[in-house]
Amino acid sequence: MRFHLLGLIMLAAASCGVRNVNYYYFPAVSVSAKIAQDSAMLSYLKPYRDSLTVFTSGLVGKTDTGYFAERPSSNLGSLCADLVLRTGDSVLFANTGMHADLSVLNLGGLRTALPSGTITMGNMYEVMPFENNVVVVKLSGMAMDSLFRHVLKRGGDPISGLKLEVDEKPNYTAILGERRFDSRRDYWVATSDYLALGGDGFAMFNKPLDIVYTGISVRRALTVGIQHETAKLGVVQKRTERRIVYANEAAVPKK
Amino acid sequence: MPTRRQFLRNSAILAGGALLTPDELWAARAEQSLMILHTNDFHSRLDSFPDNHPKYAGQGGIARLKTLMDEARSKNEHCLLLDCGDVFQGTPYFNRFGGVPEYKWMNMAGYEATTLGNHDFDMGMEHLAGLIRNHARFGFVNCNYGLVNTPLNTLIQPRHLVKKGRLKIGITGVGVNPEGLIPADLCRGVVYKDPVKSVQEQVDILRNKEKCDVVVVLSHVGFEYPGNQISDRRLAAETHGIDVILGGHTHTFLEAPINAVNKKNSPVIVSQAGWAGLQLGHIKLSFK
Repeated sequence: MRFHLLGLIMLAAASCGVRNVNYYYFPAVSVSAKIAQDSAMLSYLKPYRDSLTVFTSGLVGKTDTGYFAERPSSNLGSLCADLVLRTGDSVLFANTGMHADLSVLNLGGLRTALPSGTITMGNMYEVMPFENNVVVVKLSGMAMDSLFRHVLKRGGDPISGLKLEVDEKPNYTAILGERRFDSRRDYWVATSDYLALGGDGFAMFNKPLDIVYTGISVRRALTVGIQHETAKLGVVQKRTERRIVYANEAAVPKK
Repeated sequence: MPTRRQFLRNSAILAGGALLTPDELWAARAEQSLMILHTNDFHSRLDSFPDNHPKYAGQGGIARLKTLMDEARSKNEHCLLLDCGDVFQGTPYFNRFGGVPEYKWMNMAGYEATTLGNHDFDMGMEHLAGLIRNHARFGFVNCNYGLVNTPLNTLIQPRHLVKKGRLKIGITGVGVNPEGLIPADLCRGVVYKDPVKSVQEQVDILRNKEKCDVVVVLSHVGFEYPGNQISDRRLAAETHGIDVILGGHTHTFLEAPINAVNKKNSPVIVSQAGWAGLQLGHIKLSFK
């Protein structure tokens, strides 16, 4: 029945003279919530789902808005970068007495949105399914410059402790905390071990001046951070500010 | 090259002219047909998205997908169900059960073949090899990863052949460059080879030696990029002999498949079905 409706705009497009093939394309069929659920598949899944419940039903915290992962900056990106920075910073401080300056994550690593309302462990697994750990990497000013350029070329990634502005030329200005980026000094960057190994094109992380392994998974850092903010404020703190700004919207790279 | 607009206009004329159901249209003209159903970037989304999901509430899930697949099968004598990789990673099902329920689902759904996505390596190649050996009852195709020195050797084929009615269908697969994408210790020994050259080599064999009626590429290189990077669009333009390129990796939602033109000016269909089982791609081919 569904095809009869969609099928009225069935497309007969190309026909190849030599081999006499006709292609009929259908408009993409959405697997919407209105489509009936096959009962055999539901019973197949049930034992798996039941056994997962223990794993996923634990309450983590509360939000009062949806959190989305978008470029150039987004509330979910900023939340995750903040919480990774918090974890990286505390482990770095405990080990070396130094503080982490910033954190950078890859947007593609945040796999889905976080709902408004109750946040469970299941949500945490869906936002961050990977078993990656938080690391803190010491980068030279030169490597930091490559890092900023890489992030800006991609149209933006989650950052914390940092603000990036791109002018018309386009040149960038990086502000860390209250100060302008100084290419002559080194910085401590909290990130995931996936990026620290050069993942997602972050080759500048690959040969750091120093590295501190926290042994704490990114998911754990996010979970603890959301628990903490909810305990303190009742809900996760809103993060509406734009941390990466392109003066010329047309110059934002499309990915 | 026909633009998308022209393509849509032509179709609109066609559709407006004949107020027939597709099935009726079909009966009037086809001698042998094949319905290709496709998914990509399933990312362990066995359940529908939760009801409080801000973007995809209640959508997807194998129970709904199966309903759509059964419906297509009931209406088409010959269906071919294909996937384009990244079956894994994205829900706790994968963290907890290591990919077993995903492959068992694909067996039950009747998948013919899939290709390797970068996230299919996420638990390592030993683990993946075990899953393929013990659980998967469908083919794995890839032609641009040298796997001789890996546990996946012999489990992944450069070509997969299947007969549907009198049609012989040849399938090959192509994967994304693992460098800087898949952590090095998860893909140690994988040799990445030029996608265009590797695919053309397999397509030539499928066309000339195997005499296939249909050649399908399962791709996990991505739909389109602003730069020079290899994509399904480029693969379509730089090869010849392919009928359909089914894609993945970029999680691209299309309103309908794209009508592209190959190196020899013949048509190629390029398609992709979003991700997470949110769409089920449908492409029907007819042969006279």
